[in-house]
Amino acid sequence: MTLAQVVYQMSTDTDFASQLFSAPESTLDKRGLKLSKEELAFILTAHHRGEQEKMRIVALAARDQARWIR
Amino acid sequence: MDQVSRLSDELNQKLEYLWKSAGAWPEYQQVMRLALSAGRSDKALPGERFSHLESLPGLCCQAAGGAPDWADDLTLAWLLYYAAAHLMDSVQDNDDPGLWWVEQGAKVALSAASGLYFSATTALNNLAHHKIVSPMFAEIVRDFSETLLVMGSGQYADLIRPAITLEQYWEQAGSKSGAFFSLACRTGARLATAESRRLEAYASYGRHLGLLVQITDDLEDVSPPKDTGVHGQRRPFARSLPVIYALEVFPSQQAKQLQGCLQDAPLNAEAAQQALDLVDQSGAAEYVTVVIEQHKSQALQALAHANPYPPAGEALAALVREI
Repeated sequence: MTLAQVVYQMSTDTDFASQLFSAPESTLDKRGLKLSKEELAFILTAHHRGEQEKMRIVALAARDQARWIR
Repeated sequence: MDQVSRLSDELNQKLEYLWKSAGAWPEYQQVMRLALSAGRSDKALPGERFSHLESLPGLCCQAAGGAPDWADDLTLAWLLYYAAAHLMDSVQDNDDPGLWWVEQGAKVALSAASGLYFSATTALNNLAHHKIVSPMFAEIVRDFSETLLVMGSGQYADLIRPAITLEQYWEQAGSKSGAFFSLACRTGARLATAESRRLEAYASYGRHLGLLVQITDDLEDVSPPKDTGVHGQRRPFARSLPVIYALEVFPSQQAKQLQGCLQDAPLNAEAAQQALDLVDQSGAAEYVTVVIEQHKSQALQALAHANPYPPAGEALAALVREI
């Protein structure tokens, strides 16, 4: 579950997160991690959004449920 | 009248006629009605929250070149199987009983679920009498049977595994919600086309949509129950995606700490809050956001490969974008 491992490392290791932003492929290579280009793009977008405001699971749940209620 | 209202009225009439003509006793009809209406107020049927998903098989049929009403019997069968399976799951998982069966117990819920299964099978059999879609009848019945067996396998695995890994979570979600929504889209489209490439695309669209529905359901378990007098966390929270993710990525000490909080969380508000804090520390919100975006993108790509006709194709894309 590489995707999960990369998200965890980004959330807990700010150095790893900034290296991943500046040189994604070599940063992943150094740690022996592999992601598809699509996965990497989603991770970087989500992390960028999360940097502006720390994402909390309860807030995410409230937002996603509200969208589905008609 | 919009398409969802037309469908709801049409399906209700079909169901009432089906029960009456089959000779189901009035009190049995009543308990099945109760099961369905209770389901609509939570999530056993794509009810208030998922009302737009009731039209899924019809939209796929229309997007593949058919008329939306060709799929009415198939839709009714699909929704009844969904309601029956959800009710069986609730009993098997020891969820809090619905108000309509709290007094008489699980035996009544299981009896209603059996009735819904038989009703679904009868609705599916009605496809054999439809002028246009009857040639596809045998193929569609086989697809339903095989998919339901796969779903049963996923549910069984869920019951016997005391704890699951993230990989097992995705395997189970794929075999249950993913397979079931894939079935709705594939069989709905099959009523209008036999092109295997397009059918595979509709199946893939449905699979990703089903996984998105599963993730949204799991997020519902994250929010502590309101107005119930319970101060802790919902029990299904412990097996929701954010928790499974956190347990997978945490070092063993933090994983143990989270497991300890989860044990106490249903009855203890402090433990419930600690569990939520730990889940937040793991980056679960980022992970869930990434997988939602990933499945949305994959669903839309699959839909594009299906070459859907407007306006149904646009409605199918909107279902994904709205999540």
